[in-house]
Amino acid sequence: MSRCSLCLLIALPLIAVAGSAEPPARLSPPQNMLWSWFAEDDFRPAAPSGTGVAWLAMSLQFSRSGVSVAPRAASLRTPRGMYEMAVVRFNFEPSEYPPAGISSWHPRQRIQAEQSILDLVRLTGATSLQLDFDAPESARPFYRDLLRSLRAQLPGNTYLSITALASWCMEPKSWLASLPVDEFVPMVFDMGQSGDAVLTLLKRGGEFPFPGCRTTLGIRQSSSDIPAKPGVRIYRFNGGQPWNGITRRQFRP
Amino acid sequence: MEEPVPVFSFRKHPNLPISRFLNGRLGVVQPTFARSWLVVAWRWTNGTGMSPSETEQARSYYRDRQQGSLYQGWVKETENWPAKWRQLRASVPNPPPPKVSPVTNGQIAYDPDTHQFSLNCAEDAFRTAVHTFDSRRNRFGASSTAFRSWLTAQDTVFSNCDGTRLFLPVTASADLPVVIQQDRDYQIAAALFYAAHYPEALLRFRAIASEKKSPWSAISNYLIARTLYRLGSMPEVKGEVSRILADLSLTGIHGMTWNLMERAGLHERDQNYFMELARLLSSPGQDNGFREELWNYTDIYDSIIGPADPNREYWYGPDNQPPDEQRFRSVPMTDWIHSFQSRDPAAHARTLAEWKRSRSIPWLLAALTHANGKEPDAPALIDAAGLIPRQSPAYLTATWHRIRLNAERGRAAESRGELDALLNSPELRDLPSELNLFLSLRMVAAADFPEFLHFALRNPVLVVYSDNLGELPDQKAADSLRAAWTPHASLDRDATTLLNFSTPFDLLEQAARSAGFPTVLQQEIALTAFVRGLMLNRDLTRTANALEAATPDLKPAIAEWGAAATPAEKRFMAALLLLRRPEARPYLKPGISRLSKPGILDTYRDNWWCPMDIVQPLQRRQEEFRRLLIRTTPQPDFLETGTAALEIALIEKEGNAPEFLGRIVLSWAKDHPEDTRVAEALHRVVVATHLGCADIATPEISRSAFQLLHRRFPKSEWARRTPYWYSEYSIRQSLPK
Repeated sequence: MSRCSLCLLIALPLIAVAGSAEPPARLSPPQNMLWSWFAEDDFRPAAPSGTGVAWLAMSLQFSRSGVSVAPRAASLRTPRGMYEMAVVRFNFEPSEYPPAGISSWHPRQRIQAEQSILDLVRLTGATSLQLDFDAPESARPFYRDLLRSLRAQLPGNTYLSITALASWCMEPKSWLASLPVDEFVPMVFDMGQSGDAVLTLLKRGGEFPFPGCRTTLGIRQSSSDIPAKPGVRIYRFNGGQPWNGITRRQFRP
Repeated sequence: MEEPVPVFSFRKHPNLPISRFLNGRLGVVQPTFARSWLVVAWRWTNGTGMSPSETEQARSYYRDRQQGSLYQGWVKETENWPAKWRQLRASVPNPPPPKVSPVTNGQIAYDPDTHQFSLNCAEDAFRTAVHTFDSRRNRFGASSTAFRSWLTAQDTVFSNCDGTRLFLPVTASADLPVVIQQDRDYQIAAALFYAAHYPEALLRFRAIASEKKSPWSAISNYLIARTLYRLGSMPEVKGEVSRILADLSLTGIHGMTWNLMERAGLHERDQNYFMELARLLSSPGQDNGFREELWNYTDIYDSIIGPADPNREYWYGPDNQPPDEQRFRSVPMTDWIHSFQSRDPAAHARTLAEWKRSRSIPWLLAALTHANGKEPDAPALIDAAGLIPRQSPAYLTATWHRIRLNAERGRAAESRGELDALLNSPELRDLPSELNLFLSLRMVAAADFPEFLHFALRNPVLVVYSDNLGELPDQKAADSLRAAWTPHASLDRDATTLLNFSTPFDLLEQAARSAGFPTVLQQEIALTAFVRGLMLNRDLTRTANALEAATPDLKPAIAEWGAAATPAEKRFMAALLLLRRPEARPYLKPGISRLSKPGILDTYRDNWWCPMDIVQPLQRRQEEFRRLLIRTTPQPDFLETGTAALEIALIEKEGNAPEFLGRIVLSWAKDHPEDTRVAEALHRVVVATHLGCADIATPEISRSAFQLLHRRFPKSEWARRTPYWYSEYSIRQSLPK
C-alpha cells in the first residue's frame, strides 16, 4: 500500500462524516424540570443535580391588531451547568379567537411571532426552547405552520419542546403527531372540564392514548395525585410562585 | 386550560370598587387579603384612618399594581415618548431609521446573569431626544450636516439600549457647531451608560458636569448619581445626592434626584428600613409618601417571608428555611399582619394573648379569626365582638366571626333573626362579597332543609378565567366570559360539599322536588338525585317526576321509563336515559357545573362521572383549603351525615359511569335478546367508554358492549355508528378481520 492510498483511507471517514446530513446533536432536558414563571428564582445555593429550569422568557399577546411582546421581568439566577430552557407563552383573547370554525389566526401574526421568538433566541443564546400555547382548534393550522417555519429557521441544535393540553393527548391519533418538535409536555393541572377523566386515567396507572405524551408530564408542584413513572420527565409548576427567592420590583434607575 | 370560574366572595382583595375599603368600609377583613389591604385595615381598625391624600396615594399604588406589566407600572407619563421618537425618526428617510428588536422594543436590556429584561432606556431618554431633535433641526435645518451628524449619533446611542454590546458614536469633528460637539460628548457618555460601561460613563458625565457652558451640565450631575447607583456605590450615591440637593443652581434636577433616593433606598433592605416603613405606614401624615412606602414595605415583607407565605395557595410541600419570626414582631402593625395571616396553630394563642393584653380592636379581630367556638375563651371573644358598634370599620368582621363561633357552639338558631336583619341592612348594601359570606352563615343556621336550600344560592360577584388568581375584573375578557356562561344564582363550594357528602338521598330528592332554583340548577339537582337513586337502587318515581318537571325534553324518556314493567327493565331504561345525558353525575359541582349544553358530549371528556374515590378527595381537599382561608363550617343538625356517608360508600363501589351504566345494559341485554332498544344502549355504552371517564374495567365493558352489538344487531344503524371499541384508556379497536 502506497503512502498516498493510506492517506486516502484515513481521509475517507472524515469526508463521510463531513458530508453526512446528520442533524447537530440536541441536548435533551434532565428528568426533573422546574418551571420558573413570574417570580424571582435563585437556584445557585442548592440546585438539585439532574434538575433543569424552564424559564418563562417571554409572553406573546395575540390580538387582531397584532402581536405584543412582554419579556421576562423577574430575575432568575442559575448555577453553572444547570440545564436551561427558554419558554415562550402564547396568550390570546378568547373573544377575538373562536375556539373552532373560521380561523382568525393570521399569517402576519405568525411572522411577527416567529421574528420575536428568533430575536429572543438571538438575545438569550437559548439552545433549548419551549412554546406554551393552549391553542384552540381554530389555531391549530396556524400553530403547525409556525412550528414548521420556526424549526427551519432555528439553529439545528435547538431542542424544541411544546406544552400540550391533556385533552390533546387523549386521542391515539392526536393532531400533535404532525408537529416537528422534540417533546410534548402534557399539562395535568388546571385541566378544567377534562380534569377528572385525565386524573382517573393517570391515577389508575394508565397512559395517554397518544404515544408522544407518555414520556413527559407537566404537574403542579403541590400535586401528589399523580404517581411518577420511571423514565418519565417531570416539569413542575409552582403556581407562578418563587421556587426559592423573592418577588421584587426591578428597575434600573 | 382557562375556563370561566364564578367568584362568590373575594379572597384576595375587598369588594370593588376599592374606594369603600380605603374610606373605612372594610367589610369582612380576611387573612388571605394581600398585605397592602391589611395595612389599610390596621389603620382603620386602630383609629388612625386614612386622610384624603393618603387615600389617593393608596389608589395610585393599586393602579400601579393593577397595570400588571412591570413596564406599564413604571411609566407614569401619558405621552408615549419612545413611540413619538420613532415616529419623528421615521420622518427622516436618510439616514434610514435603525431596525428595532421586537423583543426589547429598543428600550429594555437582557442581562444573562439574571435572565432578566429590564428597562434600560426609560421614557425620559426619548423625551430628551425628541426635544433635542426639534431644537437642532429648527436651528440648523433638516438637511444640514450638523443635524444629520447629531441624528446618526443619537441612533447609535439608542442602539445600546438592549445592552448586548457597546456602540459608540464617533467623536464630533471640530468644524461642527459647538453645541453639536457638546451634544456629542453627552451622547458618548450616554452610550457608555446604556451599554453598562459605567466607570467610563462616570468620567464623561463628571467632565460634562464641570463644563458649565454645556447645555448638558446640570443633567450630568444627576447622571453621575445614577451611574454610581448602577455601580452599587451607595455611600457615593448618598454623597452625590446630598451635594445636588444642597446646590440651588441645580433646582431643576432636584425632583428626579429625590426619586432616585427613593429607588436607592430599595437596596437597603435591612430590618431598620423595614421597621421604619412600618412605623411610617402606621402613622398619620403620610400624604406624600404613602404610595412608595406601601410598595417598599410589601416588597420587603415578601422577601422576608418567602416560601413560608401563608397566602401561597399551591404550596403543600415542605417549606424552605422558615423566616426569623422576630423580624415581624418589631413593629405592632407588622406583628398584627403576620399573626392575622398565619396558619401556624401557635398564632391562635399569640393573637389571644395580644388581645387580652391590649384589648385593641385589631387584635380582637385577629383572635376571632383564629378562634374555634368550642374553646374556653370563645365566650369572651363573642362578648367582646358583640360590643363593636355598627359604625366601626371592624363591625362586619367581628360580627361574622361572632356568629360563626356561636354556630360552632351549637347556637346557630339564635343567630337566625340577627342574620336575617343583617342581610337586609344598610351594612351589607353594596358589599356583595360580604353578603355571600353572611349567606354562608345563614345557610348553616337554617331551621330546615328548604331553608338551607334557599340560603345555599348565591349570586357570583365576578366571573373570571381560572388563571386569574388575583380575582381582578378583566374588562378585555368580559365579552368572552359572558358568551361562555350567563351568571345566575349558583351553589358555592360550601353548599355543594354539604349536599354531596352530608346529605342523604331522601333530602336530595326533596331538593329535586323543591322549587326556587334557576332552571339550570333545578335540572342539575334533579338529575343528580336520579343518578344517586339509581346507584342506591331506590324508588325513583318521585325523582323522575321532579326530573320531568325540571327538564321537559326528558318527558318521552321518562315516560318510557315509567312504562317499564319490571324493576330490572326500569333500571335498564334509567341507564339508557342517563347514557343519553352526558351531564349526568351523582354529585353537584360548585359554580359552573359544565360548559357543554345538556345532552351534548363534551369534547374535553367532561361527560358523566368519574369514580367517587377519585372525585371525593379532590372536592374535599378544595373545600378544606377554602376553609383554611375563611374559617367556617358548622353543619346543620338536620343533615344526617351518618346516612349520607353510608350512601357515599355504596356509590363509590359502583364506580364510574361507563362501568356502572354498562353493567346494567349488558345484564339486561343478556336476558332479553329480543329487545331492540338494546342496540342503542350498547352503542351509547361504547361512546361512554370512549368519551367518558375511563377506569380499569372500562375497556372490558367497551369490548363486551361492542361485540354484543355487532353480534346481535349487525345490520343496525347503531352497529354502523359503532366502528370501534376502546381499550387501554381509549385506544381504538376495530372489528376482527
